[in-house]
Amino acid sequence: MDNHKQPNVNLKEVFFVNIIRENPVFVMLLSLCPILGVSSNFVNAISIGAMTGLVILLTNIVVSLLSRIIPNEVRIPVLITIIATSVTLMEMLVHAYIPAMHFALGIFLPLIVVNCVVFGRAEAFAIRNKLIPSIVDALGVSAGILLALGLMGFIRELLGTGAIDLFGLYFRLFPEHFAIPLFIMPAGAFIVLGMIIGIIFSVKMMKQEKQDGLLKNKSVTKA
Amino acid sequence: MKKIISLGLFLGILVGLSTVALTVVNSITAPVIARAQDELFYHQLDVAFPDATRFVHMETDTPHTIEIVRALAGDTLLGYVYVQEIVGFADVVRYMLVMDNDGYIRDFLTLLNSETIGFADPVRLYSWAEGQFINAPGDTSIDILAGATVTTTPIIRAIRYAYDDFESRR
Repeated sequence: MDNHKQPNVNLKEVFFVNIIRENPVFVMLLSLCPILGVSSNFVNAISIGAMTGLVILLTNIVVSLLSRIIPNEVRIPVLITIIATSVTLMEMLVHAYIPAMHFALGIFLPLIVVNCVVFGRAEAFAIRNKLIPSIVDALGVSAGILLALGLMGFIRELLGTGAIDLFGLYFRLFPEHFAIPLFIMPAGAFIVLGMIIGIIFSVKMMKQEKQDGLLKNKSVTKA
Repeated sequence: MKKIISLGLFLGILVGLSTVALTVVNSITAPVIARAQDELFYHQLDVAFPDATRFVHMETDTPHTIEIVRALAGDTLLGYVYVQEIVGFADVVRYMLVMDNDGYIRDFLTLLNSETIGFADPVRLYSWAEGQFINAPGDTSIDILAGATVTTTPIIRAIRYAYDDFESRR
């Protein structure tokens, strides 16, 4: 696979493009399983986001280092083996040293193995790039996922309970009887995700229309 | 043919390396996990029976029951703890059922919950237990938890088995 290596990559661009413009969750609509399943509260959402980020980082590093010797014909099973190993290692470590997080995340921790973002970054980026760009890409994607999960968890917990638990610091923002429990139920995840995606695409469309209008005006002026 | 064999060998080596990595990490984490689970279990036993001076583990063939522990203060029997495990909607739920010497259920503590998050999380299971059968006789009528029917139905069945076992020991 070495012949696919791209020598010059803009690291700043690689990092920042994954956070907002090509956010893996809100723009590319990947990683929806944990987004819908574990974002009912802020702490759990951040925890699964951090775990997914660590798995992406570990996978990208291993895949980038091995990319010279991975035969193209078997790259898919190789990537799957690397991802499955990374996730299982992470799960064992979390179970042993952060049991509360293991207890809270439950089945969604081993399910990171089927997260499209992990496989997507390994296949689309790490296998074609050197170590440093692969690490930067993993950090950018992880930041994008953390942002998406954190935002979802924050909104859902706030609207669903009227309060926010920020790793032990508890803030009540409005009385419990004004809270809408629907937002911490699975249906609430779909509603919040849909609203956020709607806002992002509306802003994008407005920007696009503005640009099109400017171009039109320019061509009219020239004519 | 040569190509296929070399690709097969590559995959074999990769899987071998992966197995070595997992074995090493497992040998480090497994004792930590086992110790933490034992500590949690004995802490829960102390919480359930603060006056107990010893706990005696007993053999059992009661369905869904992994372990039965007798809590004793000297020679006086204080009650029983049933560690039960059921398979619900997605995966295993393991819990401790604390029963006093009069056959009243005194506590219900989730030890492991691998169910889908939101369906039968420990908090919901506890509030369900608290609202219906904690501090109630072991043969009390229990309604299922709405939204977690598949999880709570086998728990109710397992509680019945625990109570039958308790009655047979009385």
